Amino acid sequence: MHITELIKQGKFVITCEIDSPKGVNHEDFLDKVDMVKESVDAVCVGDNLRAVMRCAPLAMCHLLQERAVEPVMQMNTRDRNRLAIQSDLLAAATLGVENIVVTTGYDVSLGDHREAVSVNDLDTAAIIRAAREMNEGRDLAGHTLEGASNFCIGVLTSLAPKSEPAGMERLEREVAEGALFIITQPVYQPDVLEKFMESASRLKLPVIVGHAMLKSASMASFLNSNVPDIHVPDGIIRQMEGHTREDLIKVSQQITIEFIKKVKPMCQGVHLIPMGWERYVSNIIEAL
Amino acid sequence: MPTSSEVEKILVVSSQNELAELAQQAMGTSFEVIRAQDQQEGLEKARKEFPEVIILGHLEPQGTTFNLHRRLREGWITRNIPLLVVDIDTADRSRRALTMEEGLQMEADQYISLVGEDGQALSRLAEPIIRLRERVGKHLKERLNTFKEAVLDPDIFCVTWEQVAGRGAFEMQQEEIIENAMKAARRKKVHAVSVTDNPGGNPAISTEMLCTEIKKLGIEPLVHLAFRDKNRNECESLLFGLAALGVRNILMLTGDYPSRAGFKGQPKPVFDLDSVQGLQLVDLMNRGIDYEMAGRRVTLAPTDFFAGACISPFKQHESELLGQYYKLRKKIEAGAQFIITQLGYDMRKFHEILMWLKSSGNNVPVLANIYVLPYGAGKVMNANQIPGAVVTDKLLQDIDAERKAEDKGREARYLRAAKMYAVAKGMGFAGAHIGGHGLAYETLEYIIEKGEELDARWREFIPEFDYPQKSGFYLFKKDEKTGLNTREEASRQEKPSRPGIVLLSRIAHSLIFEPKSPLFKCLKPMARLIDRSPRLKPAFTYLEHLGKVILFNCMNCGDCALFDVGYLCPVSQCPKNQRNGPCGGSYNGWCEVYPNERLCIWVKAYRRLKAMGKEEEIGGNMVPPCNWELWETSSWLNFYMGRDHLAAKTGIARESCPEKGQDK
Ligand code: SF4
Repeated sequence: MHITELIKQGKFVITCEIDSPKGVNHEDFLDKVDMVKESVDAVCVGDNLRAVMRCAPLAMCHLLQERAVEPVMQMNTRDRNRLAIQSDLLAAATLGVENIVVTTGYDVSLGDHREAVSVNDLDTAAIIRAAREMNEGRDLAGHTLEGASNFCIGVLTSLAPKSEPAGMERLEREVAEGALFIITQPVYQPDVLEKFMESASRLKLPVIVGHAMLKSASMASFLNSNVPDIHVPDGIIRQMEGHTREDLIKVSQQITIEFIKKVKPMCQGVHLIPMGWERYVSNIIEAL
Repeated sequence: MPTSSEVEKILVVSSQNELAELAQQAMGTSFEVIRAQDQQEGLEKARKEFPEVIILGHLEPQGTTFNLHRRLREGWITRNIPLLVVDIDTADRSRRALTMEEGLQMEADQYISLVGEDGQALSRLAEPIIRLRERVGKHLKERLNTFKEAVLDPDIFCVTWEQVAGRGAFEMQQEEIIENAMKAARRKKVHAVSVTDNPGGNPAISTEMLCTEIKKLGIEPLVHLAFRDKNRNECESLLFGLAALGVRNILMLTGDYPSRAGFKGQPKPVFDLDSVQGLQLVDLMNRGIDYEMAGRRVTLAPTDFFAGACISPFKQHESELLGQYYKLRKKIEAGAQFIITQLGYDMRKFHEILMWLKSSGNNVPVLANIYVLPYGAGKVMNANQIPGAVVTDKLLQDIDAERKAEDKGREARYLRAAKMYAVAKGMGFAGAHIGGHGLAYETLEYIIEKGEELDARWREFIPEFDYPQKSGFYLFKKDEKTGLNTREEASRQEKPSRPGIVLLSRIAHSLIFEPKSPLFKCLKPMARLIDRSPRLKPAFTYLEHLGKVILFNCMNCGDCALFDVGYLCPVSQCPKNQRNGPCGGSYNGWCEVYPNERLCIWVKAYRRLKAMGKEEEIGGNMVPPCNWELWETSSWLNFYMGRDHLAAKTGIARESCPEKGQDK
């Protein structure tokens, strides 16, 4: 079911991001899906996530559908030109994968193929336009297609203070082109979300707040200094220090639970990134 | 982990020189910063130098830092050394220590970024220095042995919790030990969880392995190491394993005699070392064993054990009790860093240990044994079925009366333990070693809390622990005001044995075996002659053995200890072969293994030596373990040829045994 449809039904939507395999074995991916599928509404698969080359998300989305799990497919601007983007969108539509989230993708310098060329032939707004055109039976050049798609298009946005001004402008363009829902980059401070919700209120789009589980204080401080759009406050980092591994797992879950509880009244859903800790997702959802 | 050097070392592996400079600035001169520029050098130095902390910075090409991190984590020698990956400069992305994927995989507190808000390097400002110092300090603290700290810190009353290992691999008893350790780790009221070693001489799951698991749960384990079942090599090998896995606290015990519950019968009692010798072994390991192999000197990396021993003051007779204190003196000399008492309930006895330590000028922390005693266990102990555990008739009556209460005496039992805690703390013990069958963690915490609450009133409770043994001997006179001991020593009335045999043996000994005596000078060449004659030697050995069997029930160990034990043979007459003093198991003067049948040889030795006013010798004479190379050889020839343990004292030069080729 389309993400927007779920929201319309008044549901607090929970999506979960699971990394596509780097390689051809997908058992691990499916095991993780099994761990979360009872607790979430959809599973989202990244597109060469964090600029690391991985299996194309469409294959994983197809496997999800076979298991009656609703897929959400990400698509970045970095890796394809407009021909490839459109043909991949058609492939998705053919296989019935309809929830699409558009993103710019991390800079190649952060990933594992640092010499790769960044394509950026289309920006996010343009990809959204392409998908919307396809829903009306046309491609970007205006040619008529055999049949029309039925995409539900969302967009991934950052709401860290630094990129906010430009971000809002971009978001407005994306909405104008037909984005129907917003997923945010991982957030850790409810007040940052609150501010974003205020300024985004005029867009009148449902917002699904992103949240990556923090597996250690080290990881949190790594995020802070290495990922421009993510900020984990010091208080949380301190909360995570000096625990045994077992306690750390509990503390981490508690941080996520508390965050979701606080933001739940403000937004329409949460996009959970377990970072390999898929086995704790059901605990978290139950505790909400 | 080794800590022998004075200056602590920090290894910095990075192609960026700034990082090493920063680390030196952060840690000051009490730390030596060792540098390595690449992966190979980093690995080598980490393995050779045993740094306290390893700091990894950027290494070329990208991915190397993470790879080195993994190898150090998995490496046998380096796995317990705290690691810290540090970024000092992210203005240039290619000079970061970790890639995005690597950074997100860091599951422990092992990464720190010293980069300012605006992404600029701050290496010349004070802030990164402070932050690095904080983090390294935290890592150093992680390595600390918190049990050791608690025992040695006079402001901390240390608590250990004894777990009894059971027979079987997958039994509830084992499950409970791990669960208890988990709770103790979480609640942080207990400083160490100790696990017994084949308790009561029964087969049980290995304390070493349980303790290794307990260590992983985030609490210090205390391994009981009993010498009943392991010879010296086995002890050494277990200790190496424990050291490598980061288990550092050891309680050295003689061990109860093997029970009959063994596989197809009673096991062979080993007792190759006693606790004094075991402590010497650990002390040597802590300094780094040094030996010769194929003409080359090998020095092993020092270990970092914190080893202690036991004392049982709950003895009835002067001879038994003094034997305990003499041996304690030797344990301390051998390197015991803490002492735990045997279980008992007579506070004047607990106090006696502290008084003895003070009067003998020893300053070793002692933990008081607090056993939560239900009636059933009390009855067994009262019947002397658990060696060394003393429950007097009066105490048993009190518990019997208490169990008539609605809660079957539970409240009274816990309160008694809490009061013991308070009194032990008040008297000046370093901590409490708490045990009890099936004791739940919640109960333990109740005892600790209640004990702390009652702490200030400890003097009030002393009369409640007035459980002397019948005509039991105390080292010091009673202080009627406090109910404890005065500083004045009690007179030692126990009758010595008649000097006859010992005196004769001594005279004979000083004539024959004293290198300065004229007789010795004639006997030595004769001994050499016999030693080198293939015909005379077997005959002589046979005759000597025969004579000594008749006189001393000799077992032909070849490394004679008669002189060390008042002319009593510890091989034949002490079931635990104790050469340095009594084990803790004697009862009413009887040997633990033969109650009401045979006197403990150390009781006899004390009485014999006392007849000559030489009983103090027991506490001064450090006896090494029996050298099994000499088994079934003539101990007299070994003596004259300087091959037995007495050579170290007499100074007789060693002459090799002709038929033993390997002997140089
Ligand atoms: S003789 Fe004494 S030291 Fe030896 S086992 Fe018996 S009680 Fe223990």
